[in-house]
Amino acid sequence: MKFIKKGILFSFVTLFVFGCSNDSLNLQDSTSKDEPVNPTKTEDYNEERNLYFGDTHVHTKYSFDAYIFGTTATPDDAYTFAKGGSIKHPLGFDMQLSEPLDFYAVTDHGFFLGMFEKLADISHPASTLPGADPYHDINAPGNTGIDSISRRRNAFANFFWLSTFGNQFSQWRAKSFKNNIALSMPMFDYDVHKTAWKDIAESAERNYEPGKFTTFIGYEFTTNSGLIEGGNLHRNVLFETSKYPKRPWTRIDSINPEDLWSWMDQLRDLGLDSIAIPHNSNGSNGRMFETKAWDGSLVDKEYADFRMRNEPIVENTQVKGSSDTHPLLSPDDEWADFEIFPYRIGRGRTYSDPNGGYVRQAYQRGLGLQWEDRGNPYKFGVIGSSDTHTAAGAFVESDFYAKVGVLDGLPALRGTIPLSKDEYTQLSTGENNSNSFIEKEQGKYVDTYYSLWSASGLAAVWAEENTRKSIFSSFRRKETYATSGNRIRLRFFGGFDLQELDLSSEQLVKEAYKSAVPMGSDLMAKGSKSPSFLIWAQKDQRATSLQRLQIIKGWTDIEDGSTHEKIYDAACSDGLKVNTQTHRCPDNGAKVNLADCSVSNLGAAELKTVWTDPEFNPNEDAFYYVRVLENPSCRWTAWDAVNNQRKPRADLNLITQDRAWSSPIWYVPSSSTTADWIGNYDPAEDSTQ
Amino acid sequence: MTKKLLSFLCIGLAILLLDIWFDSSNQDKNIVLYDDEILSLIEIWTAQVGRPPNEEDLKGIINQLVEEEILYREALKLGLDKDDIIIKRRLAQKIGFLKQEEQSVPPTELQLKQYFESMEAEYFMDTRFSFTHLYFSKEKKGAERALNSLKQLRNLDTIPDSDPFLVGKNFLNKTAKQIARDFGEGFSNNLIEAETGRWIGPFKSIYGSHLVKISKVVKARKPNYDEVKKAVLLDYLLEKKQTEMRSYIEELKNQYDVQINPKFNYP
Repeated sequence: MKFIKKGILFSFVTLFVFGCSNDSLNLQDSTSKDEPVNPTKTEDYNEERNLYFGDTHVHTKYSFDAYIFGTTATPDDAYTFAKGGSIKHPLGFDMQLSEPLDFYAVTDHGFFLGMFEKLADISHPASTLPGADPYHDINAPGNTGIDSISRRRNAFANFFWLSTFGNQFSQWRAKSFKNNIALSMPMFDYDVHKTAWKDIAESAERNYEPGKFTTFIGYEFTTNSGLIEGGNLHRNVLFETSKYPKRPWTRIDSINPEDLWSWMDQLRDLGLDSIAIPHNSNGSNGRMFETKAWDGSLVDKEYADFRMRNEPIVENTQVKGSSDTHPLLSPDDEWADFEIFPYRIGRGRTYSDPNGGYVRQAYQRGLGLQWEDRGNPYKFGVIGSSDTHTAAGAFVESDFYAKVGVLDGLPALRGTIPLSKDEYTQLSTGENNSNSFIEKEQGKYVDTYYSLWSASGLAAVWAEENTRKSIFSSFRRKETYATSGNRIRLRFFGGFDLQELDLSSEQLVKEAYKSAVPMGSDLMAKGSKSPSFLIWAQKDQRATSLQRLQIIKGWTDIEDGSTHEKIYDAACSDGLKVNTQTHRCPDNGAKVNLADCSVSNLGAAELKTVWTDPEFNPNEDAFYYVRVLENPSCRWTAWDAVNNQRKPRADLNLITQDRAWSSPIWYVPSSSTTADWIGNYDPAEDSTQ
Repeated sequence: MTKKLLSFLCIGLAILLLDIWFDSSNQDKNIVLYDDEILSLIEIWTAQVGRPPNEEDLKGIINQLVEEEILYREALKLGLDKDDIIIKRRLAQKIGFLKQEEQSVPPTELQLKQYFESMEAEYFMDTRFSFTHLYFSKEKKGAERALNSLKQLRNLDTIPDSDPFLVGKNFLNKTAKQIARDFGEGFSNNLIEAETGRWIGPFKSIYGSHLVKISKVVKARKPNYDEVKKAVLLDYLLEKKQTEMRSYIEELKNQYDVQINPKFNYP
């Protein structure tokens, strides 16, 4: 008796004593290995940098929503998938990549991380916590059919409100729990939370193979602009090394992203660097890239430094749409209407204001702020990632299994093919049913906005070797680009003497690194010389051929500080030439056959050019980034139908033009305020101060 | 015989009575709180709230502990722990965890080696090629240029008129699968029986034509134990855990007599 009581007591002691020293600032290490002082280079080390593809946005069973959607895959399963192995979708089919990835990061939602598996497990004490009932046995065998969808939706909605209001409750309780507000929440068990977080870190360590496959310890900081508005402000936090805090800093600690950055600053002082990667700015209702700070004050250089130090890259494309630009923001861009997801995140079909929610406009706003001498908080690079909630990203249009597990794992559930009789019965009967249906030529379809999901995206980095250190520094120097899921290969350099480069020289890359700067860099003015850019792309061997290379330029008017953008085609496929008046390639005539998704035999396997800005003003701050466009091809909505011997649904968006976007190169005039404010955070420099 | 049986019963009765008496007086209705228990509760409270408890707080803390203990014992008396599925599962889980944590004896080198030998196929290493290549873009008549260059290379050893390849020129120790990522499926078939140390080709990829010079081929092989030591250890521990748990359960199962209604009918 006494012994048992001691045992119980001991576990409480550990729980609370750790709970109260501030665990979010308490570092531990997932490896016992000592890092060598001068780590030897791995076999593939390359001064001219190698290209690595990855996904830094992956949810497993430890995310509250993924678990509710039926996902029981562990972080180990996620890494198995990324390395080329096969894992199970919650609906039972296999998911496997046709080509493994080079790096992967499990980023589960930080708040309530790990809790839901235990709330559901009726043999676990956490399942008796108040509020746990709706989740009991939610993923028990036999409960994972499509007839469980309504229950899952209700469970999700239930937690959505509980967490939103629960958060408010804990704020007025905060005094006694100031180091860990989550402890005051009724449906929370700190032991469960920490154990899951530890497993995430240790799994990253177990699966890290320097030189071959890189993992990052990370999580998602799932916040928004407030209870009523719900503008999405989600960020993924990635840590640089095997070290990690005892618990993640979450929206329960604060919903203000600036508090997250302060915490990251503190960790940096303790010797652990990290970056936060904002995503789904498209669903932020214009709140992601504002010209004000959280408290409404105007942003200044200090804010710009603060933000750039913590957020050097942004995820501009993923399953919930792309955030490069919006037709309303870029009316002169014929390709702006790409994978637009017009809603706020987690708020059904509530409209999200595009103004302030898209990357290209943010770059312009940054230049505008700089013109006002307030620094540039938006000088970030880009990557893509999936945001999969099944541990396995779905990147390929012809093999898309969507995002939310049991809820959208089959074409019929995504509204791309009609429901069978049996499916209709399962979805339309039963308690609290939340499905609605529409009648079309070919039968009854689920009426859902899942058809707006996107088979996107991937993060591409240029790094010396496939190690955490090397890839993390690529993120920091923004030598990265994003693709909408395909593995388009892209090199991009800016300089003043690139016209002299021999494009067919084997030394091309070496010369480019010597005489120019790569994507993500600043290009400092050289007299009044016009900059030129080397753009070089190869198609994904499994995807459609390339149609054109484009430069997207944005600049500030030196007179009034207004900002502008313009699209220039830089290279065309099929031997076509850019029209010097319109700056457009002629139509190459590429077509898609919606009956079988075949495409015409047009386009290029490789495009390479040097482009010089024809309308250059040496005194104006400017940014230049590349957009690579493939030929049109079937979107997954068409593939779903074709793969199931159906006719694609005419009222859906059926054709896509997959693409890649580079991180920009910023031109810095010698007169610019930027010349003395660069805003790039260099940890090495920081540590010497 | 009767006498023996009687005295046996008497002694038994005495033990039973003693047990009941001790049980009720010493355990059932006695709650002893030791100093260190209270002290650690105070510590928890202080850490959690940020100040030490005052007298009233302390009363509350102790009272809560006492009440919980009393309710727990009363619940046991009423047999509430019996036939409760949550408690059953929790206990089953607990013994499972304990059992799994139990084995901490590290395996010997010999055991690991034997395991490695028995799982040979799992650790088999694919053929690896190291090579350099010359690329001739198909956008610029690559097939033709590649052929010409090959002739030149073989005859004169001039510098060929090749193009740079986006992801590089030299490839070290790549498997067929890795080669497929940059050159397409099947490209490595060209390299399998090929000569090393001289230019061969041209071979087609989706980007154009390639001349290849293989510098080294490491044939598919069984690795040395030392090369895969780390993976072997991880696999061994995982498997050992599983088999030990399995055999533990099987062993216990043998001691039980399981009866199921033979006429049970699943509707």
